[in-house]
Amino acid sequence: MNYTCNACWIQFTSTKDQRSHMQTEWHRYNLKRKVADLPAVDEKTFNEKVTKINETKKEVDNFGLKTSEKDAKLSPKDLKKLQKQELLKKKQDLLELAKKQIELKLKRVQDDGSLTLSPEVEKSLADKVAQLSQDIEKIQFKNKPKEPISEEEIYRKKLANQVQFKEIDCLFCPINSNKKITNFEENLEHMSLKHGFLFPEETYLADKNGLFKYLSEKIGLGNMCLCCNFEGRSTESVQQHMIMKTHCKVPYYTEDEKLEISEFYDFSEYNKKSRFRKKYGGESIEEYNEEDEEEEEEWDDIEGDEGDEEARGELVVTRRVDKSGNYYYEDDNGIDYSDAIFNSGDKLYLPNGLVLGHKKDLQKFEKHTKKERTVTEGQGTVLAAESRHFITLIDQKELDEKKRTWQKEVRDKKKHEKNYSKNANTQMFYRDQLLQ
Amino acid sequence: MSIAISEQDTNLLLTTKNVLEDTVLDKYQLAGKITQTTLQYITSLINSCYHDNNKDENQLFSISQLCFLADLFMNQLLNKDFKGKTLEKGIAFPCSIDIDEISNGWSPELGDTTFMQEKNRDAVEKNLSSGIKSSLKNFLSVGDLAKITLGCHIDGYTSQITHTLCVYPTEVNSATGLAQASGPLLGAKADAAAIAHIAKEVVVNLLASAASPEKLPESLRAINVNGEAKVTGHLIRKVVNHLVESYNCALVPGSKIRRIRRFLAGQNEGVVAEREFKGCVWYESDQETAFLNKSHQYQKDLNSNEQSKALTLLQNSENTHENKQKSAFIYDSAIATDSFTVLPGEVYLVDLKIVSLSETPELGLISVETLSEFSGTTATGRNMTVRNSQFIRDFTQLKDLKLRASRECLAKMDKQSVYPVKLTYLSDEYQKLTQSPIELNLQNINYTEEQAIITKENLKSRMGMNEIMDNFLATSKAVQIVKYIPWELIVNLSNPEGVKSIDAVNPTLPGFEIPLPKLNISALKLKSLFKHADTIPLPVAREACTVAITDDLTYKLTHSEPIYLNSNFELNPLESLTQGVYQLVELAKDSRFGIKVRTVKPLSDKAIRSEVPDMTD
Repeated sequence: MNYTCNACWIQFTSTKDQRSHMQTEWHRYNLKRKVADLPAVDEKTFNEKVTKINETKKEVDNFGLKTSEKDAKLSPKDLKKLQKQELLKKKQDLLELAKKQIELKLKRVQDDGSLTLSPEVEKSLADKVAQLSQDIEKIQFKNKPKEPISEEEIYRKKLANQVQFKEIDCLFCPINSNKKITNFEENLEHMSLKHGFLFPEETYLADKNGLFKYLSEKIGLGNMCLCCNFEGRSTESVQQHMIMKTHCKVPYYTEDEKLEISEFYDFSEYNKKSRFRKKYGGESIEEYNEEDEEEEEEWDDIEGDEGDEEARGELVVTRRVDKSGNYYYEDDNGIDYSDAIFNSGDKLYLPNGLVLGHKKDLQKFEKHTKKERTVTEGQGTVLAAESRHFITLIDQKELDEKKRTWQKEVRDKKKHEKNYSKNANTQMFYRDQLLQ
Repeated sequence: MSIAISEQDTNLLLTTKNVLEDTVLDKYQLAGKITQTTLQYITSLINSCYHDNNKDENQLFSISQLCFLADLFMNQLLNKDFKGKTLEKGIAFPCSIDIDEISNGWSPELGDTTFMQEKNRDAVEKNLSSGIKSSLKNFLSVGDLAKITLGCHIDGYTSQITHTLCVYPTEVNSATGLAQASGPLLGAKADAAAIAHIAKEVVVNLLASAASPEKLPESLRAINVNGEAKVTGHLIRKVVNHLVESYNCALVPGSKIRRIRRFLAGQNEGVVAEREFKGCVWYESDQETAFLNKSHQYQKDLNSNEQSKALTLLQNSENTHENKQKSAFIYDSAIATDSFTVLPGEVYLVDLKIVSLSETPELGLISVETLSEFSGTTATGRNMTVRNSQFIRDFTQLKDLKLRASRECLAKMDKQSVYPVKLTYLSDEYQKLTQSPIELNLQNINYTEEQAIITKENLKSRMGMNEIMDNFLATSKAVQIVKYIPWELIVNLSNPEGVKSIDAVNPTLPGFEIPLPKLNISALKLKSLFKHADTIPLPVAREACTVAITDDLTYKLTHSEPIYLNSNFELNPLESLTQGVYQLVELAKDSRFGIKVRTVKPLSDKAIRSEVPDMTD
């Protein structure tokens, strides 16, 4: 059959049926649900909902007849508005009065140079001011909103309502509803098959149970959706939300999301592999030990932390032979560098990212390591505000080159931003936050 | 090699970062709080030893110790974990205690006193003026007008305060049993201190009314061109001059009311020619103009069509001066003029130095003499040799230094911010001390060992600093004293070389290198007059504060209470300017309709004690 309605998930035998269906209230309701990312409801549920709403409406109407007409006209919103206007008016009056008072005083200053007003005038003005400010306070007191519940209280409430998940409980089905699952593996299988839930980067997941426990607490205690920032009133509501919106997944894209669950992962294996692959295309770790022939060699740090002056040029690693005849690397302080990952003959690559160069190349490196002066914000500001000119100081050629670099920097930055915003948009459909 | 800042960065650093947003305002307020707390601390230190009869000479804190303790306290406060990440923070103005005629820059290092006493051995005791005497002794004495200057910056947003204190003779109050001053401060010093305080307050109100210029009183408005309702530099100058004159006082050259920006709070004046300078400055040339306006002959010459020889000469020299100004700087914005308007969203520094003229025999010029390591070597025995203690890095200069000590010193200096540093700040021992908790009990303060180590470390830095200074990589902040020179001496002076010579050592703002352009007197000529026997050093009062103006509220970042004094002068209420000032003050008093000024309060005791202070109060 070719005739379908995508909003209501039904099929028809003829176009006529389809057309008439499209005109029903039920279809319109489902269309709205679709926009809000919610699944369709069948006709029976829809009719039930309609009757329920009608009943409540009737009750309200009956009740409404009894109340006075005046109150019916003024909704709470209107009342608030009125009060606000009143307050504003009072405040304006007060300002006017203050203005009048000060003007009188100023006039007095101009007339005879004294700074005080006659006592009667001052007293009457002061009375008025006091009266007005009292009124304002009264109104403000009336309008005071209820005190919000303290954070502690919220937490206590949440603790009381906590739902404990066991390892055999599915995170998304209502708790204790599925009796068939007997162990953790089965549970995971159920979640992946039924809800499409998978742990991100499962190969490097070191603590599966820990992550499961963390996620279950997020749902059971925090009533938070795993995927978006939705916070439900209860565990059931969150579960409903996640199933309905197909949020049964752990996002793993941005830095924050990765960091949130990073404690359960172990990427050391991956890092080791990738670094090695990048540098030497898969050479093995042991290789460097066998190549060396000299008995004692010295290595100097060449690509060290540039800001740290003491470290530069002072880290000296010496190769020695221990009793059993094996080589080991050690610096002046006796720190062992044997786990250096690679020796390329004139460079020694350390696992912490430092690269040591051979002492014979010291002169060559020293030439290149002359630091460019970095300018702090304060120094930059002072220099930018400087308007003395120094004829000898500005080298036009150099300045031109610098200008070109700046322009390129700005260009690159813009390009990067553009690319980033393009790639970061992984959402398939636009979803309106208000309609959730 | 040149260092140039790209246009985008210039725009960011000078404009974007200076927009007075909430975060920026918070930083300004925090800087103000810390500055005020430190002022409170040093005031209580001075009170505890100099206003207590029970203490003998050995128990007193010396001036250099007071400076050291105040700096330490401020650094310890700054090191606390205030909310909000800051890139740079630190002392913006080292604590200096200037006594009587010393107008700025007296902040001796811990070991400097012995050196200076040795150097000034030849000075004749009875010829020395009171401020120099106390400063050389390194202890305050009764009757001294001590001006305390402090400042700090949070992320470059700076607040500064200067407050004038007096050391009173004390007596024990029979009712309370506490020591109190036996009487108010009187005479010339009182006049100067009183009007300095009044002028500061009035200027703050005037600046605050920039947010709502329509409220500006009529008589003040009339001063502006076309009676426009806005706060201009012209108006500020008129008001301050009026107030000062009515107390028979004069403004010391170098007094200023200027806009400050991030990292540009006036610390570099005289070194860096800052572009887009906004502010009123008072220099000798203003006094010269006022003096010439009083002269009948000059007025007559101006009005008559036939130009006299003297006037032609004057105008010629004026023209060459203007040409010089133009040729020296491309950016005219670096030269201060009065034709600016104060706008909301700006931060201003009010810094007024005032001397009383009641002890001067005749009309004269108030000028400042710069003291240096060589200034005392005259036969008169009236001068003092000093050792400069505050150094400011000139970042435009680059050079490879030869000595290891100077290279180390320069590296440490570059790590500090763009504000003046003392050698003490470069010492490792001092940096260690700043991490230690604050000692709040004044009786327990005892850093004897640390002070000895710091003094030793300073010796090394001092050696390095000499090479740095020789290569102009840094300049020192001068110690200056205020002197009165009778006009008679100046007018009789001949200056055949013209005004071309400029005193490069003296830190003046660009465009003000020649002190008396109309009378054709250069700075070097004027300098030679300071040795003359007819010049008189005058005690100076100084008040400074920082004000941040926003659209609806003006924040007075630093505040100080007036001292106990009694002046014979008062403002004449019949003059229209005085009335304007009264009306302005009245407006500032009213909380609803008037000018809204909020004074930032110092940190509470609790906040000082706690590790992570709560800034909500």
